[in-house]
Amino acid sequence: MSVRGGHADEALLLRYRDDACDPATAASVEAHLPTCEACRARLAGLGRAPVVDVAWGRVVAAIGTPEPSPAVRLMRRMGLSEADATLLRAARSLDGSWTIATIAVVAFAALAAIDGGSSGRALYLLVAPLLPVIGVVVAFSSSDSLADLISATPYPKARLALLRTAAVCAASVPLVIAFGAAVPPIGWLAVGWLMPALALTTLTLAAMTWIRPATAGGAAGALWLLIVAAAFATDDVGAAVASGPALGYALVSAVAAACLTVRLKSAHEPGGPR
Amino acid sequence: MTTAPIVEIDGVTKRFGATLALDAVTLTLGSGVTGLLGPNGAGKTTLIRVLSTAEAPGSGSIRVLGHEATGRLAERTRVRRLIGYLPQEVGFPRGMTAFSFLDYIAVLKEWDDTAARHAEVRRALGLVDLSDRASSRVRTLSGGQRRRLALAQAFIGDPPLLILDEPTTGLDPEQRAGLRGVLSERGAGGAVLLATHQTEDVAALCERVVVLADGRIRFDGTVADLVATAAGQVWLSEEEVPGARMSWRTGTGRVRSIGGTAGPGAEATEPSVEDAYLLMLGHRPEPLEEAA
Repeated sequence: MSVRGGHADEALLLRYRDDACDPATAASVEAHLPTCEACRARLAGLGRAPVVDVAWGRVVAAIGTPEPSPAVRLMRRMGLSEADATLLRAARSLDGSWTIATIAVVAFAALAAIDGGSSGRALYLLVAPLLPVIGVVVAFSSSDSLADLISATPYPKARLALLRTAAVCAASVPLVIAFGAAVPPIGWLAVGWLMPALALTTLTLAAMTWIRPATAGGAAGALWLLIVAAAFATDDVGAAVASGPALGYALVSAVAAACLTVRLKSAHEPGGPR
Repeated sequence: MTTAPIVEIDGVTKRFGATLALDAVTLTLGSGVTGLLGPNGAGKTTLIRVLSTAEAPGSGSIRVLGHEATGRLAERTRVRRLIGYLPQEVGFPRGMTAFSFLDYIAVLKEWDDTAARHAEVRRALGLVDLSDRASSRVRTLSGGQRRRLALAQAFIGDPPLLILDEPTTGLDPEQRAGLRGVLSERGAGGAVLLATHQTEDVAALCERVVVLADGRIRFDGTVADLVATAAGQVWLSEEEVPGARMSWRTGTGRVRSIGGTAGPGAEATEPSVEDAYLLMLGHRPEPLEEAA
Protein backbone atom coordinates (compact mmCIF):
# COMPACT_ATOMS: atom_id res chain seq x y z
CA MET A 1 0.00 0.00 0.00
CA SER A 2 1.39 3.38 -1.00
CA VAL A 3 1.39 5.36 2.16
CA ARG A 4 2.60 8.90 2.89
CA GLY A 5 2.70 9.73 6.60
CA GLY A 6 0.39 6.83 7.47
CA HIS A 7 -2.28 7.70 4.86
CA ALA A 8 -3.25 6.13 1.55
CA ASP A 9 -1.92 8.22 -1.36
CA GLU A 10 -4.17 9.57 -4.09
CA ALA A 11 -3.13 7.05 -6.73
CA LEU A 12 -4.03 4.21 -4.40
CA LEU A 13 -7.34 5.79 -3.48
CA LEU A 14 -8.15 6.27 -7.17
CA ARG A 15 -7.38 2.61 -7.89
CA TYR A 16 -9.46 1.63 -4.90
CA ARG A 17 -12.32 3.83 -6.07
CA ASP A 18 -12.18 2.18 -9.50
CA ASP A 19 -12.02 -1.30 -7.98
CA ALA A 20 -8.62 -1.78 -9.62
CA CYS A 21 -6.68 -2.92 -6.55
CA ASP A 22 -5.66 -6.51 -6.00
CA PRO A 23 -7.59 -8.16 -3.16
CA ALA A 24 -4.77 -7.83 -0.61
CA THR A 25 -4.31 -4.11 -1.31
CA ALA A 26 -8.07 -3.51 -1.25
CA ALA A 27 -8.25 -5.30 2.09
CA SER A 28 -5.47 -3.04 3.43
CA VAL A 29 -7.33 0.07 2.30
CA GLU A 30 -10.55 -1.23 3.84
CA ALA A 31 -8.76 -1.92 7.11
CA HIS A 32 -7.32 1.60 7.09
CA LEU A 33 -10.42 3.59 6.10
CA PRO A 34 -12.57 2.98 9.21
CA THR A 35 -9.76 4.36 11.39
CA CYS A 36 -8.81 7.37 9.24
CA GLU A 37 -11.23 10.21 8.78
CA ALA A 38 -8.79 12.11 6.52
CA CYS A 39 -8.55 9.26 4.01
CA ARG A 40 -12.29 8.75 4.05
CA ALA A 41 -12.76 12.43 3.31
CA ARG A 42 -10.21 12.31 0.47
CA LEU A 43 -11.84 9.22 -0.98
CA ALA A 44 -15.21 10.98 -0.80
CA GLY A 45 -13.61 13.97 -2.56
CA LEU A 46 -12.53 11.73 -5.42
CA GLY A 47 -16.15 10.95 -6.12
CA ARG A 48 -16.78 7.41 -5.12
CA ALA A 49 -18.63 5.16 -7.50
CA PRO A 50 -22.23 4.56 -6.35
CA VAL A 51 -21.52 0.89 -5.78
CA VAL A 52 -18.84 1.86 -3.26
CA ASP A 53 -21.27 4.17 -1.49
CA VAL A 54 -23.75 1.35 -1.17
CA ALA A 55 -21.11 -1.08 0.03
CA TRP A 56 -19.74 1.50 2.49
CA GLY A 57 -23.22 2.13 3.85
CA ARG A 58 -23.62 -1.59 4.40
CA VAL A 59 -20.28 -1.82 6.17
CA VAL A 60 -21.17 1.10 8.45
CA ALA A 61 -24.59 -0.39 9.18
CA ALA A 62 -23.10 -3.81 9.88
CA ILE A 63 -20.38 -2.48 12.15
CA GLY A 64 -22.56 0.06 13.93
CA THR A 65 -25.58 -2.18 14.55
CA PRO A 66 -25.07 -4.79 17.25
CA GLU A 67 -26.87 -8.12 17.10
CA PRO A 68 -30.26 -8.14 18.87
CA SER A 69 -30.17 -9.58 22.39
CA PRO A 70 -31.11 -13.23 23.01
CA ALA A 71 -34.36 -12.05 24.67
CA VAL A 72 -35.36 -10.12 21.55
CA ARG A 73 -34.43 -13.05 19.30
CA LEU A 74 -36.51 -15.40 21.47
CA MET A 75 -39.53 -13.10 21.34
CA ARG A 76 -39.17 -12.81 17.57
CA ARG A 77 -39.16 -16.59 17.27
CA MET A 78 -42.37 -16.60 19.31
CA GLY A 79 -43.96 -14.48 16.61
CA LEU A 80 -43.63 -10.95 17.99
CA SER A 81 -42.74 -8.15 15.62
CA GLU A 82 -39.25 -6.71 15.89
CA ALA A 83 -40.60 -3.42 17.31
CA ASP A 84 -42.78 -5.16 19.92
CA ALA A 85 -39.90 -7.40 20.98
CA THR A 86 -37.69 -4.32 21.34
CA LEU A 87 -40.32 -2.68 23.57
CA LEU A 88 -40.82 -5.70 25.78
CA ARG A 89 -37.08 -6.20 26.14
CA ALA A 90 -37.04 -3.14 28.42
CA ALA A 91 -40.07 -3.96 30.58
CA ARG A 92 -38.88 -4.24 34.15
CA SER A 93 -41.58 -6.73 35.09
CA LEU A 94 -40.25 -9.10 32.45
CA ASP A 95 -36.60 -9.16 33.39
CA GLY A 96 -34.83 -12.07 35.02
CA SER A 97 -35.12 -10.87 38.60
CA TRP A 98 -38.87 -10.45 38.25
CA THR A 99 -39.20 -14.00 36.91
CA ILE A 100 -37.08 -15.35 39.77
CA ALA A 101 -39.21 -13.44 42.30
CA THR A 102 -42.39 -14.81 40.71
CA ILE A 103 -41.08 -18.36 40.87
CA ALA A 104 -40.06 -17.90 44.51
CA VAL A 105 -43.44 -16.49 45.59
CA VAL A 106 -45.49 -19.09 43.69
CA ALA A 107 -43.28 -21.92 44.91
CA PHE A 108 -43.69 -20.74 48.49
CA ALA A 109 -47.48 -20.41 48.14
CA ALA A 110 -47.80 -23.82 46.44
CA LEU A 111 -45.58 -25.55 48.98
CA ALA A 112 -47.64 -24.07 51.81
CA ALA A 113 -50.62 -25.99 50.43
CA ILE A 114 -48.81 -29.29 50.24
CA ASP A 115 -50.23 -30.58 53.56
CA GLY A 116 -53.77 -30.08 52.27
CA GLY A 117 -54.70 -27.49 54.90
CA SER A 118 -57.17 -24.75 53.95
CA SER A 119 -54.76 -22.00 55.03
CA GLY A 120 -52.18 -23.19 52.48
CA ARG A 121 -54.78 -23.36 49.71
CA ALA A 122 -56.01 -19.91 50.71
CA LEU A 123 -52.46 -18.54 50.46
CA TYR A 124 -52.09 -19.98 46.97
CA LEU A 125 -55.44 -18.54 45.94
CA LEU A 126 -54.53 -15.18 47.44
CA VAL A 127 -51.16 -14.95 45.69
CA ALA A 128 -51.98 -16.39 42.26
CA PRO A 129 -54.25 -13.67 40.80
CA LEU A 130 -52.19 -10.89 42.34
CA LEU A 131 -48.98 -11.74 40.47
CA PRO A 132 -50.27 -10.47 37.11
CA VAL A 133 -51.70 -7.43 38.92
CA ILE A 134 -48.34 -6.66 40.53
CA GLY A 135 -46.60 -7.18 37.21
CA VAL A 136 -48.87 -4.65 35.54
CA VAL A 137 -48.42 -2.15 38.38
CA VAL A 138 -44.65 -2.51 38.22
CA ALA A 139 -44.72 -2.06 34.46
CA PHE A 140 -46.51 1.28 34.85
CA SER A 141 -45.29 2.43 38.22
CA SER A 142 -44.01 5.98 38.42
CA SER A 143 -40.95 4.51 40.06
CA ASP A 144 -40.21 2.99 36.66
CA SER A 145 -36.92 4.69 35.95
CA LEU A 146 -38.03 5.61 32.47
CA ALA A 147 -41.66 6.52 33.22
CA ASP A 148 -41.09 10.24 32.64
CA LEU A 149 -39.33 9.68 29.37
CA ILE A 150 -41.84 7.14 28.10
CA SER A 151 -44.84 9.30 28.95
CA ALA A 152 -43.41 12.07 26.74
CA THR A 153 -43.12 9.84 23.66
CA PRO A 154 -45.89 9.60 21.06
CA TYR A 155 -46.19 5.80 21.20
CA PRO A 156 -49.85 4.89 21.97
CA LYS A 157 -49.89 4.20 25.68
CA ALA A 158 -53.01 2.05 25.33
CA ARG A 159 -51.14 -0.30 23.03
CA LEU A 160 -48.14 -0.25 25.33
CA ALA A 161 -50.45 -1.05 28.25
CA LEU A 162 -51.99 -4.03 26.50
CA LEU A 163 -48.67 -5.25 25.19
CA ARG A 164 -47.08 -5.14 28.62
CA THR A 165 -50.11 -6.70 30.26
CA ALA A 166 -50.16 -9.56 27.78
CA ALA A 167 -46.44 -10.09 28.28
CA VAL A 168 -46.71 -10.02 32.07
CA CYS A 169 -49.53 -12.58 31.95
CA ALA A 170 -47.65 -14.74 29.45
CA ALA A 171 -44.68 -14.75 31.79
CA SER A 172 -46.51 -15.43 35.07
CA VAL A 173 -49.70 -17.39 34.32
CA PRO A 174 -48.05 -20.64 33.10
CA LEU A 175 -45.76 -20.60 36.13
CA VAL A 176 -48.61 -20.23 38.59
CA ILE A 177 -50.67 -22.95 36.89
CA ALA A 178 -47.67 -25.30 36.72
CA PHE A 179 -46.87 -24.92 40.42
CA GLY A 180 -50.54 -25.32 41.34
CA ALA A 181 -50.92 -28.45 39.22
CA ALA A 182 -47.79 -29.94 40.79
CA VAL A 183 -49.28 -29.77 44.30
CA PRO A 184 -52.30 -32.15 44.42
CA PRO A 185 -54.16 -30.53 47.36
CA ILE A 186 -54.50 -27.32 45.32
CA GLY A 187 -56.64 -29.23 42.85
CA TRP A 188 -58.84 -27.20 40.54
CA LEU A 189 -57.79 -23.98 42.25
CA ALA A 190 -54.69 -24.23 40.00
CA VAL A 191 -56.89 -22.82 37.22
CA GLY A 192 -59.77 -21.47 39.32
CA TRP A 193 -57.85 -18.27 40.00
CA LEU A 194 -57.73 -17.28 36.33
CA MET A 195 -61.13 -15.56 36.25
CA PRO A 196 -60.51 -13.37 39.32
CA ALA A 197 -57.05 -12.63 37.91
CA LEU A 198 -58.65 -11.34 34.71
CA ALA A 199 -61.11 -9.23 36.70
CA LEU A 200 -58.47 -7.80 39.04
CA THR A 201 -55.99 -7.04 36.24
CA THR A 202 -58.60 -5.34 34.06
CA LEU A 203 -59.95 -3.45 37.06
CA THR A 204 -56.43 -2.29 37.97
CA LEU A 205 -55.74 -1.13 34.41
CA ALA A 206 -59.01 0.80 34.29
CA ALA A 207 -58.37 2.34 37.72
CA MET A 208 -54.87 3.36 36.61
CA THR A 209 -56.44 5.83 34.17
CA TRP A 210 -57.70 7.76 37.24
CA ILE A 211 -55.27 7.01 40.02
CA ARG A 212 -51.62 6.08 40.36
CA PRO A 213 -50.65 2.49 39.49
CA ALA A 214 -49.57 1.54 43.02
CA THR A 215 -52.85 2.86 44.48
CA ALA A 216 -54.90 1.00 41.88
CA GLY A 217 -52.96 -2.23 42.45
CA GLY A 218 -53.20 -1.81 46.23
CA ALA A 219 -56.97 -1.37 46.05
CA ALA A 220 -57.34 -4.45 43.83
CA GLY A 221 -55.13 -6.43 46.21
CA ALA A 222 -57.15 -5.33 49.25
CA LEU A 223 -60.39 -6.28 47.51
CA TRP A 224 -59.08 -9.74 46.69
CA LEU A 225 -57.76 -10.19 50.22
CA LEU A 226 -61.27 -9.50 51.57
CA ILE A 227 -62.84 -12.01 49.18
CA VAL A 228 -60.36 -14.78 50.01
CA ALA A 229 -60.58 -14.00 53.75
CA ALA A 230 -64.38 -14.23 53.61
CA ALA A 231 -64.17 -17.61 51.86
CA PHE A 232 -61.53 -18.80 54.32
CA ALA A 233 -63.78 -17.81 57.23
CA THR A 234 -66.48 -20.16 55.92
CA ASP A 235 -63.87 -22.94 55.75
CA ASP A 236 -64.46 -23.26 52.02
CA VAL A 237 -61.65 -21.45 50.17
CA GLY A 238 -62.92 -22.71 46.83
CA ALA A 239 -66.12 -20.70 47.31
CA ALA A 240 -64.16 -17.59 46.31
CA VAL A 241 -63.83 -18.94 42.79
CA ALA A 242 -66.96 -21.10 42.52
CA SER A 243 -69.23 -20.75 39.51
CA GLY A 244 -71.37 -18.01 41.07
CA PRO A 245 -68.50 -15.66 41.93
CA ALA A 246 -66.83 -16.59 38.63
CA LEU A 247 -69.80 -15.10 36.77
CA GLY A 248 -69.35 -11.98 38.86
CA TYR A 249 -65.65 -11.82 37.92
CA ALA A 250 -66.58 -12.19 34.26
CA LEU A 251 -69.06 -9.33 34.61
CA VAL A 252 -66.52 -7.14 36.43
CA SER A 253 -63.93 -7.94 33.70
CA ALA A 254 -66.36 -6.93 30.96
CA VAL A 255 -67.37 -3.68 32.68
CA ALA A 256 -63.74 -2.79 33.52
CA ALA A 257 -62.64 -3.55 29.94
CA ALA A 258 -65.42 -1.35 28.55
CA CYS A 259 -64.50 1.38 31.00
CA LEU A 260 -60.82 1.08 30.07
CA THR A 261 -61.66 1.34 26.38
CA VAL A 262 -63.72 4.48 26.91
CA ARG A 263 -61.04 6.05 29.10
CA LEU A 264 -58.26 5.27 26.62
CA LYS A 265 -60.27 6.74 23.78
CA SER A 266 -60.82 9.92 25.76
CA ALA A 267 -57.14 10.60 26.31
CA HIS A 268 -56.49 8.99 29.67
CA GLU A 269 -53.42 6.80 29.86
CA PRO A 270 -52.59 4.23 32.55
CA GLY A 271 -49.76 5.77 34.52
CA GLY A 272 -50.02 8.90 32.36
CA PRO A 273 -49.84 12.57 33.37
CA ARG A 274 -51.97 13.54 36.36
CA MET B 1 -33.09 35.75 17.20
CA THR B 2 -36.68 36.72 16.51
CA THR B 3 -38.76 34.00 14.94
CA ALA B 4 -42.31 32.68 14.96
CA PRO B 5 -43.05 31.08 18.31
CA ILE B 6 -42.40 27.37 18.62
CA VAL B 7 -43.68 27.20 22.19
CA GLU B 8 -46.39 29.33 23.77
CA ILE B 9 -46.86 28.82 27.51
CA ASP B 10 -49.77 30.81 28.86
CA GLY B 11 -50.60 31.20 32.55
CA VAL B 12 -49.43 27.74 33.57
CA THR B 13 -49.92 26.96 37.24
CA LYS B 14 -49.02 23.75 39.02
CA ARG B 15 -49.51 22.97 42.67
CA PHE B 16 -48.24 20.00 44.70
CA GLY B 17 -50.28 19.97 47.89
CA ALA B 18 -49.53 23.23 49.65
CA THR B 19 -46.57 24.04 47.40
CA LEU B 20 -47.15 26.29 44.44
CA ALA B 21 -44.49 24.99 42.02
CA LEU B 22 -45.52 27.17 39.05
CA ASP B 23 -47.42 30.40 39.48
CA ALA B 24 -49.08 31.62 36.27
CA VAL B 25 -45.97 31.20 34.13
CA THR B 26 -46.23 32.79 30.70
CA LEU B 27 -43.40 32.29 28.24
CA THR B 28 -42.85 32.15 24.49
CA LEU B 29 -39.94 30.39 22.83
CA GLY B 30 -38.76 30.82 19.27
CA SER B 31 -35.79 29.14 17.66
CA GLY B 32 -32.50 29.37 19.51
CA VAL B 33 -31.13 28.13 22.79
CA THR B 34 -32.84 29.47 25.91
CA GLY B 35 -31.28 28.90 29.32
CA LEU B 36 -33.59 28.28 32.26
CA LEU B 37 -31.88 29.24 35.50
CA GLY B 38 -33.17 29.04 39.02
CA PRO B 39 -32.29 27.71 42.45
CA ASN B 40 -33.39 24.28 43.63
CA GLY B 41 -37.13 24.33 44.22
CA ALA B 42 -37.70 27.24 41.83
CA GLY B 43 -39.96 25.16 39.60
CA LYS B 44 -37.55 24.48 36.71
CA THR B 45 -38.07 20.74 36.66
CA THR B 46 -41.84 21.15 37.02
CA LEU B 47 -41.90 23.55 34.08
CA ILE B 48 -39.79 21.15 32.04
CA ARG B 49 -42.02 18.19 32.91
CA VAL B 50 -45.21 20.08 32.16
CA LEU B 51 -43.84 21.29 28.83
CA SER B 52 -42.74 17.77 27.91
CA THR B 53 -46.28 16.47 28.68
CA ALA B 54 -44.90 14.14 31.39
CA GLU B 55 -46.93 16.14 33.95
CA ALA B 56 -50.29 17.81 33.45
CA PRO B 57 -50.53 21.47 34.53
CA GLY B 58 -53.15 22.50 37.07
CA SER B 59 -54.30 25.33 34.80
CA GLY B 60 -53.11 27.32 31.82
CA SER B 61 -52.26 26.23 28.31
CA ILE B 62 -49.19 25.17 26.33
CA ARG B 63 -48.98 25.17 22.55
CA VAL B 64 -46.14 23.70 20.53
CA LEU B 65 -46.12 24.72 16.88
CA GLY B 66 -49.85 25.33 17.14
CA HIS B 67 -50.72 22.04 18.85
CA GLU B 68 -52.22 21.98 22.34
CA ALA B 69 -49.93 20.10 24.73
CA THR B 70 -52.67 20.40 27.32
CA GLY B 71 -55.44 19.33 24.96
CA ARG B 72 -56.92 16.02 23.86
CA LEU B 73 -54.78 12.92 23.46
CA ALA B 74 -54.49 13.32 19.69
CA GLU B 75 -53.14 16.85 20.17
CA ARG B 76 -50.83 15.75 22.96
CA THR B 77 -49.51 12.99 20.71
CA ARG B 78 -48.80 15.53 17.95
CA VAL B 79 -46.87 17.60 20.47
CA ARG B 80 -44.91 14.54 21.58
CA ARG B 81 -43.80 13.98 18.00
CA LEU B 82 -42.27 17.45 18.05
CA ILE B 83 -40.21 17.19 21.22
CA GLY B 84 -37.01 15.62 22.41
CA TYR B 85 -36.98 15.42 26.19
CA LEU B 86 -34.13 14.77 28.59
CA PRO B 87 -35.37 14.32 32.19
CA GLN B 88 -33.17 15.26 35.10
CA GLU B 89 -32.63 11.60 35.89
CA VAL B 90 -32.76 8.73 33.46
CA GLY B 91 -32.63 5.17 34.72
CA PHE B 92 -31.58 2.63 32.16
CA PRO B 93 -33.26 -0.78 31.94
CA ARG B 94 -30.97 -3.51 33.14
CA GLY B 95 -28.76 -5.37 30.72
CA MET B 96 -29.23 -2.95 27.85
CA THR B 97 -26.48 -1.79 25.54
CA ALA B 98 -26.14 1.83 24.43
CA PHE B 99 -27.55 0.85 21.05
CA SER B 100 -30.49 -1.18 22.39
CA PHE B 101 -31.48 1.62 24.76
CA LEU B 102 -31.70 4.14 21.92
CA ASP B 103 -33.38 1.52 19.74
CA TYR B 104 -36.03 1.10 22.44
CA ILE B 105 -36.69 4.84 22.69
CA ALA B 106 -36.77 5.09 18.89
CA VAL B 107 -39.57 2.50 18.80
CA LEU B 108 -41.47 4.61 21.34
CA LYS B 109 -40.92 7.55 18.99
CA GLU B 110 -42.69 5.58 16.27
CA TRP B 111 -39.67 4.61 14.19
CA ASP B 112 -41.19 1.36 12.97
CA ASP B 113 -38.94 0.63 10.01
CA THR B 114 -36.01 -1.34 11.41
CA ALA B 115 -33.33 -0.21 8.94
CA ALA B 116 -34.31 3.46 9.17
CA ARG B 117 -34.51 3.24 12.96
CA HIS B 118 -31.09 1.66 13.28
CA ALA B 119 -29.61 4.33 11.00
CA GLU B 120 -31.21 7.02 13.19
CA VAL B 121 -29.84 5.38 16.34
CA ARG B 122 -26.36 5.36 14.83
CA ARG B 123 -26.74 9.04 13.93
CA ALA B 124 -27.81 9.91 17.48
CA LEU B 125 -24.89 7.94 18.94
CA GLY B 126 -22.56 9.82 16.60
CA LEU B 127 -23.93 13.19 17.75
CA VAL B 128 -22.88 12.48 21.32
CA ASP B 129 -19.62 10.81 20.28
CA LEU B 130 -20.60 7.34 21.46
CA SER B 131 -20.47 5.45 18.15
CA ASP B 132 -17.63 3.31 19.42
CA ARG B 133 -19.64 2.30 22.53
CA ALA B 134 -22.75 1.12 20.68
CA SER B 135 -22.34 -2.48 21.85
CA SER B 136 -21.27 -1.58 25.40
CA ARG B 137 -23.63 -2.37 28.24
CA VAL B 138 -24.92 0.81 29.84
CA ARG B 139 -23.63 -0.24 33.26
CA THR B 140 -20.08 -0.27 31.88
CA LEU B 141 -20.30 3.34 30.68
CA SER B 142 -18.93 6.20 32.77
CA GLY B 143 -21.31 8.76 34.32
CA GLY B 144 -20.54 11.26 31.56
CA GLN B 145 -21.11 8.67 28.86
CA ARG B 146 -24.46 7.69 30.39
CA ARG B 147 -25.51 11.31 30.45
CA ARG B 148 -24.55 11.67 26.80
CA LEU B 149 -26.47 8.50 25.99
CA ALA B 150 -29.52 9.87 27.79
CA LEU B 151 -29.14 13.05 25.77
CA ALA B 152 -28.80 11.11 22.50
CA GLN B 153 -32.35 9.77 22.84
CA ALA B 154 -33.64 13.36 22.82
CA PHE B 155 -31.97 13.88 19.42
CA ILE B 156 -33.75 10.92 17.79
CA GLY B 157 -35.83 12.22 14.92
CA ASP B 158 -34.21 15.66 15.11
CA PRO B 159 -37.27 17.23 16.81
CA PRO B 160 -37.89 20.99 16.51
CA LEU B 161 -38.16 21.37 20.29
CA LEU B 162 -35.55 20.06 22.70
CA ILE B 163 -36.36 20.19 26.40
CA LEU B 164 -33.27 19.37 28.40
CA ASP B 165 -33.01 19.20 32.17
CA GLU B 166 -29.40 19.54 33.33
CA PRO B 167 -27.84 18.02 30.19
CA THR B 168 -24.24 18.80 31.14
CA THR B 169 -24.27 17.24 34.62
CA GLY B 170 -21.34 14.86 34.97
CA LEU B 171 -19.61 15.91 31.75
CA ASP B 172 -15.97 16.97 31.71
CA PRO B 173 -15.06 20.36 30.16
CA GLU B 174 -14.17 18.86 26.78
CA GLN B 175 -17.43 16.92 26.60
CA ARG B 176 -19.37 20.01 27.64
CA ALA B 177 -17.71 22.03 24.90
CA GLY B 178 -18.57 19.32 22.37
CA LEU B 179 -22.14 19.25 23.58
CA ARG B 180 -22.45 23.01 23.28
CA GLY B 181 -21.54 22.66 19.62
CA VAL B 182 -24.26 20.07 19.07
CA LEU B 183 -26.88 22.11 20.95
CA SER B 184 -26.07 25.35 19.16
CA GLU B 185 -26.57 23.54 15.84
CA ARG B 186 -29.96 22.32 17.06
CA GLY B 187 -30.81 25.83 18.21
CA ALA B 188 -30.21 27.16 14.70
CA GLY B 189 -33.25 25.31 13.35
CA GLY B 190 -35.45 24.79 16.39
CA ALA B 191 -36.00 25.71 20.00
CA VAL B 192 -33.82 24.37 22.79
CA LEU B 193 -34.84 24.93 26.41
CA LEU B 194 -31.97 24.17 28.70
CA ALA B 195 -32.60 23.98 32.45
CA THR B 196 -29.29 24.20 34.22
CA HIS B 197 -27.33 25.28 37.26
CA GLN B 198 -24.27 25.87 35.07
CA THR B 199 -24.19 29.60 34.43
CA GLU B 200 -21.10 29.14 32.24
CA ASP B 201 -23.19 26.98 29.89
CA VAL B 202 -25.75 29.76 29.69
CA ALA B 203 -23.03 32.32 29.01
CA ALA B 204 -21.41 30.19 26.33
CA LEU B 205 -24.48 28.85 24.59
CA CYS B 206 -27.72 30.74 25.16
CA GLU B 207 -29.01 33.82 23.40
CA ARG B 208 -31.75 34.16 25.93
CA VAL B 209 -32.07 33.40 29.60
CA VAL B 210 -35.10 32.95 31.82
CA VAL B 211 -34.66 33.07 35.59
CA LEU B 212 -37.30 31.23 37.59
CA ALA B 213 -37.70 31.67 41.35
CA ASP B 214 -40.55 30.52 43.59
CA GLY B 215 -42.48 29.36 40.54
CA ARG B 216 -42.42 32.77 38.88
CA ILE B 217 -40.35 34.27 36.09
CA ARG B 218 -37.97 36.77 37.61
CA PHE B 219 -36.08 37.64 34.44
CA ASP B 220 -36.57 37.01 30.74
CA GLY B 221 -34.14 38.55 28.29
CA THR B 222 -30.81 38.23 26.56
CA VAL B 223 -27.75 37.03 28.40
CA ALA B 224 -26.20 40.47 27.86
CA ASP B 225 -29.23 42.10 29.48
CA LEU B 226 -28.96 39.79 32.48
CA VAL B 227 -25.28 40.61 32.87
CA ALA B 228 -26.08 44.32 32.53
CA THR B 229 -28.33 44.15 35.61
CA ALA B 230 -25.16 43.62 37.68
CA ALA B 231 -23.10 46.38 36.06
CA GLY B 232 -21.42 48.54 38.70
CA GLN B 233 -22.33 46.12 41.49
CA VAL B 234 -19.39 43.71 41.38
CA TRP B 235 -16.19 44.73 43.14
CA LEU B 236 -12.64 43.57 43.59
CA SER B 237 -11.01 44.76 46.79
CA GLU B 238 -8.72 43.73 49.61
CA GLU B 239 -11.68 43.22 51.99
CA GLU B 240 -15.40 42.58 51.51
CA VAL B 241 -17.22 45.77 50.55
CA PRO B 242 -19.94 47.07 52.93
CA GLY B 243 -23.38 45.58 52.32
CA ALA B 244 -22.17 42.90 49.89
CA ARG B 245 -24.73 40.18 49.28
CA MET B 246 -22.03 37.64 48.63
CA SER B 247 -18.25 37.69 48.59
CA TRP B 248 -15.31 35.33 48.36
CA ARG B 249 -11.53 35.56 48.17
CA THR B 250 -10.34 34.71 44.65
CA GLY B 251 -7.15 32.95 43.61
CA THR B 252 -5.40 36.30 43.22
CA GLY B 253 -5.95 37.00 46.91
CA ARG B 254 -8.44 39.79 46.28
CA VAL B 255 -12.06 39.64 47.43
CA ARG B 256 -14.82 39.60 44.83
CA SER B 257 -18.00 41.15 46.23
CA ILE B 258 -21.42 41.14 44.65
CA GLY B 259 -23.70 44.01 45.59
CA GLY B 260 -22.98 46.52 48.34
CA THR B 261 -21.16 49.79 47.97
CA ALA B 262 -17.59 50.43 47.00
CA GLY B 263 -15.27 50.68 49.99
CA PRO B 264 -11.75 52.10 50.09
CA GLY B 265 -9.60 50.57 47.32
CA ALA B 266 -12.51 48.70 45.74
CA GLU B 267 -12.70 48.76 41.98
CA ALA B 268 -15.70 47.84 39.88
CA THR B 269 -15.16 44.81 37.70
CA GLU B 270 -16.95 43.20 34.75
CA PRO B 271 -19.86 41.10 36.06
CA SER B 272 -20.42 37.53 34.88
CA VAL B 273 -23.72 35.73 34.26
CA GLU B 274 -23.27 34.08 37.63
CA ASP B 275 -22.77 37.42 39.37
CA ALA B 276 -25.94 38.79 37.82
CA TYR B 277 -27.88 35.62 38.63
CA LEU B 278 -26.76 35.59 42.27
CA LEU B 279 -27.47 39.29 42.62
CA MET B 280 -30.95 38.83 41.20
CA LEU B 281 -31.80 36.02 43.60
CA GLY B 282 -30.18 37.61 46.61
CA HIS B 283 -28.03 35.78 49.09
CA ARG B 284 -30.02 33.13 50.85
CA PRO B 285 -29.49 29.50 51.68
CA GLU B 286 -31.01 27.14 49.15
CA PRO B 287 -33.39 24.38 50.21
CA LEU B 288 -31.78 20.97 50.14
CA GLU B 289 -34.40 19.40 47.91
CA GLU B 290 -36.27 20.46 44.84
CA ALA B 291 -39.92 20.96 45.71
CA ALA B 292 -41.03 19.14 42.59
